[in-house]
Formats: sequence, C-alpha cells, structure tokens
Amino acid sequence: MTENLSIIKVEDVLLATIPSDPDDETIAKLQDGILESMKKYKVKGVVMDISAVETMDSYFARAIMETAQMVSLMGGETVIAGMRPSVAITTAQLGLTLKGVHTAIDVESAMEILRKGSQEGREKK
Amino acid sequence: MKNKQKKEVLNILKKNKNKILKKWLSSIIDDLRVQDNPELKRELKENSQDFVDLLIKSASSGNFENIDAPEYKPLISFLDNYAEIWKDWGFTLFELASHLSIFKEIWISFLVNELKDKIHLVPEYSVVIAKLLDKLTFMMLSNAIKRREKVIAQQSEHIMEVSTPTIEVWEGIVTVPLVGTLDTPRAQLLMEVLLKHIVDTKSSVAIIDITGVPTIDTRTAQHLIETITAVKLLGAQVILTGVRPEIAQTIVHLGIDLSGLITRSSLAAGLRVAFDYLGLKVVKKDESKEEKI
Repeated sequence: MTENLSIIKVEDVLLATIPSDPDDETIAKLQDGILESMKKYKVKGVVMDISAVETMDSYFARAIMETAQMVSLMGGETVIAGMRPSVAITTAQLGLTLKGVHTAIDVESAMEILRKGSQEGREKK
Repeated sequence: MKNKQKKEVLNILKKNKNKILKKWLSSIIDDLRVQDNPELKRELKENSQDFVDLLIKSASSGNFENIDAPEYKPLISFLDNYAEIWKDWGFTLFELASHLSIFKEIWISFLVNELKDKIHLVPEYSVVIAKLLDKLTFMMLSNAIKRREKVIAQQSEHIMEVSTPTIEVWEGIVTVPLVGTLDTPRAQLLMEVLLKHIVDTKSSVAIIDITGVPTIDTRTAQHLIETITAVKLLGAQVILTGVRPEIAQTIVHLGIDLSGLITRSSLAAGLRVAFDYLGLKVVKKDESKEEKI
C-alpha cells in the first residue's frame, strides 16, 4: 500500500499522490513525508491528489485538515485536488467540510491556485 | 383426470374447431368497432385461428394444468403479442379477457352437445377447461400489466432525469435550474448529476437556480447545503440564484444559515458574479473596440 504513496517536488509545489484506500499507517507516513519535504525544499504549498481515493472517512478527513494546519504553520498552503463526485457526496453527507483547505477540480488548477497565492483565496467572495 | 379423458376434451375442440371458431368470431364481431372495420375483422379471424391451433398444440402434451411448462411458451408469447395488438386497436384488457371467456363458454357448450350420452362427465371436463383458460387469461393480464408498469417506471425515471438538467452556460460555469419540490431522491440525483457535470467540464462555478422551487423547508435547505458542500469539496464555487422575497423570508424565519454562500435574486445577477469570479467582463461593443466576451 505504502509504495503507491509518492511525494514529489514540481517547480515550487509539492505534489502528494494518495493511494486508493489509504490505511492509518499510510496517512501517518503521508503527513511525515509532506512535513519533511516542506522543510527540505522551499515550496509555496502542497497539492494532495486524491483522485484515486474511493472512500473518505472522518479519520482521513481530520488527517487532511490537520496536515493542512501543520503545513500552514510552516508557511505553506494546501490544496486538495481531484476529489471524486461519490467521495464528495459521502463527505458532505457525513458533515465533514474540510475547513481551511482549498479544493480544486484537478492537479492543474490546484497548481494554479497555489501560484496565484493566498491573496486570491478561493474561499473568499 | 386421466389422459384418455383429456384427449376426449381436446378431440371435441379439434373436431369442432371450425364451428367453434365461427361462433366465437360472430360473438366478437357483434362489437360495433369490429363491424365497421374489415381489416380488424380479417386480423381477428387469423388471430383466433392461431390461438386455437396453438392451444391444441400445447394441450396435446396432456398437460392441462401447468402453463409455465415449455409446451405453453409459444401460446403465452402469442397471447402477449395479441394483447399488444389489441391495445393498438383500442380495446381494453377487460374486453380481451372477456373474449377469452366467451371462447371458454363456447368450448364447454360443444362439450355438452358431444357428450349427450355420458352427460355425467361434463362437470368434470368443464372445470378442466375453465381452469386452463382462466390460467391463460390471468397470465396474459398479469404480463400486460407488468409491461405497463415497466413503462411507467421508465417514464418516472425519465421525468427524474429531465427534471434536473445541467447546462454549461459558459466555459467553466454550470447552471442547474431547479423546477418543483426538492425531495430526497431528487436532491440525491441533483447532487450526483451536478458533481459529475462539474468534473466532466472542469467547471469552477456552479449556479443553482431555485426560481422554480415553490417553497423551501428545513429539509430542502439541508439538501441544498449538502449539495453545496459537496460541490465546494470538488473545488468549485456555488452561487444560489432565484431567491424570491418569499423564499428569503422563509429562510430567515426558519433560521437556516446560508452564510458563506453567495445568493442572488436573479439568475442574471448570479451570472454576473460568476463572470466576475472567472475574471471576465461583459462590455458593449461600441464602448470598447476590442471584442471581449
């Protein structure tokens, strides 16, 4: 499972790809890996590609929010990219809102959000 | 009943086939609609003949009871087809059933004629015939009803589909005009359709227009909020338009929290917000030489 997890640096952004059914161990590794890479490379933010994720539970949602908070403490921004419609429906029905995390339709627009910077944050308006 | 007796019952039908058919047809043709229609008359004649032939063929196996058996398959499918043709001619299922009942009566009346010398057998034989034909009639009716129910189910599914159209009004802007009450199955469908459309078109703004929604209650609002949360999770912005005065009043009176959501009274105003969000501007041609939008 863990070998599917990849965290790579693309220009000034970290791209983390999450496997389809992440277990607790994978999520912990993901968090460590992202924070380590944040320290190693000077990047603007993190894009978490969850297009492969088929189910979202409260634990995973909380882990994402916490990771986003940690990234923000280290001076970065987090964008969740490519959530599947079915995952979005269950997440909304569970009442999980992923507060403080940007969302994007795919990795490409996630990169664009990070490049534009926080002053144009999508949550505003 | 013994096979020999069954054969006897069937032989009476075989022997008097043409007479029975003639009598049966004349009683059906008494119907006014049939009298003025030579084409229908001809078709009726052919179909009655086919019915009797198939019945004889099926019953020759000695099976008078189990019409689910393979030997009755051709007869049942003939009856199903017959029911459809009759429907097209404007007859009701009730009329069709009563025509089969007439056939049953005629067959039994011939039985009485033929078995004058052993009249004590008639009641038993009649019951066998009646049971068989009743079973066939019920089977035909239930199949016809099943077919109609299937059509109704398909139509309601179709209505559901057309009731939640998603339109890409501009590159990156998806609109859903909602018409009618937003109940749970529709809300679920709306969510699925809208989210799929957003992903397919990679849109970043979704406009949900509730001009056609007569009233809003807490449940409808809950559905809307869920949909909006899900859309936001995909990374798109939601604009709720068509908030009429009554709806605005209801929302405030019910204490529904729609803060954090862009709402506008008209679709046009919502579209303007969406353009603004995408960094687009609508200008008059003569005010600006360059074509913008």
